[in-house]
Amino acid sequence: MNEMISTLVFYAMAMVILGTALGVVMSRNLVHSALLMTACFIGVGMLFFYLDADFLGAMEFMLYSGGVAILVVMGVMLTKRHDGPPGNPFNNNTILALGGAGLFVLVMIGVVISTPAPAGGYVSPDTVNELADMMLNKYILPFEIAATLLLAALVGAIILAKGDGEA
Amino acid sequence: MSIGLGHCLLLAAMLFSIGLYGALAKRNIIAILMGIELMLNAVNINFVAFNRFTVVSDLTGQLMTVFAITVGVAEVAIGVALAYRIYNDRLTINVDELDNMKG
Amino acid sequence: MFYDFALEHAWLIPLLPAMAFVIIGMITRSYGKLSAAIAVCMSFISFLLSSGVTYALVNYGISVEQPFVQQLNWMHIGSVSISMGVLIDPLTAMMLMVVSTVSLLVQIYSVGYMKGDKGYGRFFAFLSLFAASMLGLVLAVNFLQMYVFWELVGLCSYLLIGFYYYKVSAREAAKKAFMTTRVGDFGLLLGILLLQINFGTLDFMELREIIPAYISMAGTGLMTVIALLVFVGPIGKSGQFPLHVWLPDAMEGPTPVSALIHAATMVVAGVYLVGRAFFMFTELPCVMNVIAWVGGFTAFFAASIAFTQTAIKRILAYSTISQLGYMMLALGVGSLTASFFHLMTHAFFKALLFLCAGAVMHAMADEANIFKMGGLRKKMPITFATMTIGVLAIAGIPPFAGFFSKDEILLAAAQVSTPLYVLATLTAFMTAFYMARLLFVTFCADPANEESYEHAHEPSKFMLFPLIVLAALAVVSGLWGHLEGFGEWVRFGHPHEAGIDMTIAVSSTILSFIAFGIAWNIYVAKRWSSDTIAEKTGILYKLSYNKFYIDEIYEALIKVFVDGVAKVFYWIDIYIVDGIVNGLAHLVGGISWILSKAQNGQAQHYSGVFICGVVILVAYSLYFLAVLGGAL
Repeated sequence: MNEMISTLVFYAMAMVILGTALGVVMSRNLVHSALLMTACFIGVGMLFFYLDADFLGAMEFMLYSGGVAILVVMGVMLTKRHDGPPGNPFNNNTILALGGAGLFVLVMIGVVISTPAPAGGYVSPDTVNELADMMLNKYILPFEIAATLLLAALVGAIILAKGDGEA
Repeated sequence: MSIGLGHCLLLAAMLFSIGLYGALAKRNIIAILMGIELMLNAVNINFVAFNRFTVVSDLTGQLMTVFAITVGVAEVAIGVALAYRIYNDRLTINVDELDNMKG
Repeated sequence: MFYDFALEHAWLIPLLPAMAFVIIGMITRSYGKLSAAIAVCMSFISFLLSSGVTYALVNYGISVEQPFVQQLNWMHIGSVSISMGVLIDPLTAMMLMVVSTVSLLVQIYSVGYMKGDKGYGRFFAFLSLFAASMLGLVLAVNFLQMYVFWELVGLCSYLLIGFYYYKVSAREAAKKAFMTTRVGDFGLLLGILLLQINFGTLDFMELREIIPAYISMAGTGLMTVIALLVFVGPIGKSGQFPLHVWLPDAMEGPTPVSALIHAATMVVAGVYLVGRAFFMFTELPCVMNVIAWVGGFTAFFAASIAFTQTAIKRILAYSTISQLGYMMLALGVGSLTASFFHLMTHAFFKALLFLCAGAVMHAMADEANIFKMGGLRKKMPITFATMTIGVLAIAGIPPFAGFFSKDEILLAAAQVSTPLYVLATLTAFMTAFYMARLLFVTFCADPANEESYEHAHEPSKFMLFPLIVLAALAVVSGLWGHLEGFGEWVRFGHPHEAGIDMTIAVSSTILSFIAFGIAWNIYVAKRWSSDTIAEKTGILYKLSYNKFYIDEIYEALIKVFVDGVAKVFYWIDIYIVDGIVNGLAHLVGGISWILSKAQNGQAQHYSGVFICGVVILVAYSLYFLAVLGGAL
């Protein structure tokens, strides 16, 4: 019974994620796309909870559904033309893109089917403590590099957005 | 039938391919950025799923996701800034008009 | 001793004029007198060295059988090794003497003749280069060295004929000379290549041993071909029929050039080549026949044209062709001695005649037509005297040089073939006639143009000195050669007995006198009108006057043949060669046009293709590398 609910929950989340993702791609309105993308991220965050990664789930909600979504919406707003809602047209590469994506899925399906499933694993429930421990001990260097990257991205974004003539 | 690694991987693969389609087939830079974000999330799902369903003693997979999210966020910031620049310069954010590399 | 030094350093003989060429060409070209001084000095030193070599040759008894050879390896390619060096035997020594003497005298003459010409320095540079090339040719140890210098003298000839390059006729003449001799050189080159291929060597001394042995073993078939090809070179260079057409036109050059190159030295290079390779030709009777008949016919043919020409240098040019024909005839009947004896005497008296003609033209403000001169005997006594000596020498009047050498040739021809002898004697008669005509009309007839007659004067002493020296040589060289046993030194095979057949000598002399008499009666005493004769002989006169229309025939042939071939090639070029090339270009263009469609400049398109490629590669590698155990 428990297992069945679990399965149903997974499929529900999968439906949400894939459906909203499809909506993001197919929508004619860029603002709708942005909103659907936020919903998609919420689905992904819930999937993280489902997979016992509660800290990551929270991060997903905050960073993606919050930060990234706002950034994207601001981007839409900044680059919008004055007439009508921002369009979200396709280019001439749809067939090529569809072929590439379809092939990718096919290959992945093949790989997944032919790979024997590993035995069930275990995840510590106290993810926050453990992640903090790893981040500040074993992975301190990547952590610092990520911090530098963020700083660089911040400065870069400012400079790019500011332009040359407006010093 | 219980949910296993395979389900998560397939879900991630589909999400990835949808993102890929968006990134390749859209004209608008912002839409392309969204597609890329979807692809990044698919990767994150994979990390978390592997961490959950394989026998590992620590949370390396989740940690990698943290870094991936960091990089993804930075990328969105830069991407939006770029889109804004391009829009300022050319009054368009349609990528297929940016064909300076045309042979 | 000096002659030892000269013999050991014979390579200096061509090198010194070559140095003069370089010095004049690079440094002193714009200082005319200095250039002339350098050229004359170098020529004089190389004349001295040549004399030293000749003296040493006599002193050490260097003979045709045991020549003096110095050579060093010039290049070594695979199995082919090519050397350069000097080969000195009596033939060489004689040629050295002739070439260096004539070129020295002509250079001295040019000091006066070319005075005031703006190309003064250039002229001496070319003359020096010519002297160097000709001396190098004479000293050659093998066919290749000879060919190199052979081409160099051709180049000098081209440069000097076209010396007045601002005149269209001079340019055309230079081109004609160069291309006509080219035809001959091509044959010569083919012959040389065949020799190298068959015998692996081009060395004269080695070939002299190999070829007779080869012929006695393998027959004459191949050698005949080679010899004929080699002989094509002399036909071109020595103005033999049918490649003689360039030589009369070559008279566009300055007169000293005509004297030096187109009368005395370069044109005998062909004769010298045949003489040098005589070991090859004597083994092949049919080739010898060809040589004899080509020579005999050329001699007669050219003389018959000289009959009616009016330009003084053209008459002399045709006479040169005729005399070269004599030399070839002598070679063809197997008498190297007679040929080279005539070569030597001819060099002296023909250079003399040309220099006299130059002096006359100089005096008459470059008038070339003899019928517009006349009466110069009183105005230019020394020139008249020397010219008379030259004419007597070429006409074969004893005891002048031509008598002895011509007699040797007639004798040699008579011993081999009566038709050739008759032809040669007839030619001698004609030669005497047209030379007498030239002399009488120019010097003895009444002045045709009073004004230019009044201005006529003797040339400067620079020009007179060579005339006198050459006149002296024209008088004594024949007798000297006859008495001193020329044939003992310059010979092929056993020593040649110098003898005079009284029948031949007397008959040819009488014929010459008759010719003189006829010419006197027509042109001086005016007993017979030349116009009437011209009318009576009609077509013959016209043929001769128009040089048997050889030039016109060539032109027509070239028009038909070359233009026809050119049309065919034009078509091939336009439609096939260009078609292929343009087709390839269009093909490549089309393919690249298709490929460039892929380069549409859209990063998304690129990355789409890239993704597809990656996925396909991954699938492929998974499948074939059996990572999945063949599941896919």
